[in-house]
Amino acid sequence: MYSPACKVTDIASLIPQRSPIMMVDDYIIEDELNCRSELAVGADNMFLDETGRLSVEGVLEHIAQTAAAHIGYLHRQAGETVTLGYIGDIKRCAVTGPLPAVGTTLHTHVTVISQVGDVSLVSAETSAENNPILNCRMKVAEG
Amino acid sequence: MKQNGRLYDILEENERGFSLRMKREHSVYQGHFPGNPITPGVLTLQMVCECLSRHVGRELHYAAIKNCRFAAIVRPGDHLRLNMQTASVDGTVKLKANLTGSDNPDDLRLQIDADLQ
Repeated sequence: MYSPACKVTDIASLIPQRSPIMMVDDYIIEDELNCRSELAVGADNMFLDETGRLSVEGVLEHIAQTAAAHIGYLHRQAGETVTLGYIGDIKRCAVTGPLPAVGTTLHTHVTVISQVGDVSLVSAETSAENNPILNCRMKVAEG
Repeated sequence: MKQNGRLYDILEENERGFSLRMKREHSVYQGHFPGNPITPGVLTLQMVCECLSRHVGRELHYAAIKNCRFAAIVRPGDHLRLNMQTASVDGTVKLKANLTGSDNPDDLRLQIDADLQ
């Protein structure tokens, strides 16, 4: 079904979002339930806050797009169409470290906890420069 | 204020909250999604944060989100009502808020329970 530890850099083939709101650079599948992603925070990122750091909302969008890329990858491997993904809810979200500045690379690990119909519940941890910055649970619904 | 610019207009503001209208034009709709403009859920979160910051008179950021439910899609042009309940504890603003259609409080779009600092 999938190639373990396969890296996908053509993210546009996995998710329907386009510039200026592409928030994943690389997607790496580990197995059917786990994936990782990376994002280099550029000076043109639309989620920079007034201090020049990526906002919490930007990190959450990065996590949502990582989960959506994982769902999209599994669909593509099954020969199915990539669908729109929506955040259904966010729970247990904690900001645990300083938000990343321009030039920093985010590293995110997403684990699928459950999948019921078109709704996936995932847990996610994002770090930057080896420091955890945010973790949460998120439901992503396909539409 | 985030650098992506405001994607809504404030029509009215009072002690309980805000009356808001989503702008029809914003660069984010070029990518979310092409030909099918839908306000990203995280930008409705940002809108709530910005309105609360304006309400308390200082810049706030999410420190923890206990629960945030995106109940229905927000689109450009939507006219919305943001009702907020807040409490300040040791520099943290505890927020409970609902975002609904302006004319129908049952038209829930977003419900959030969060701490901001």
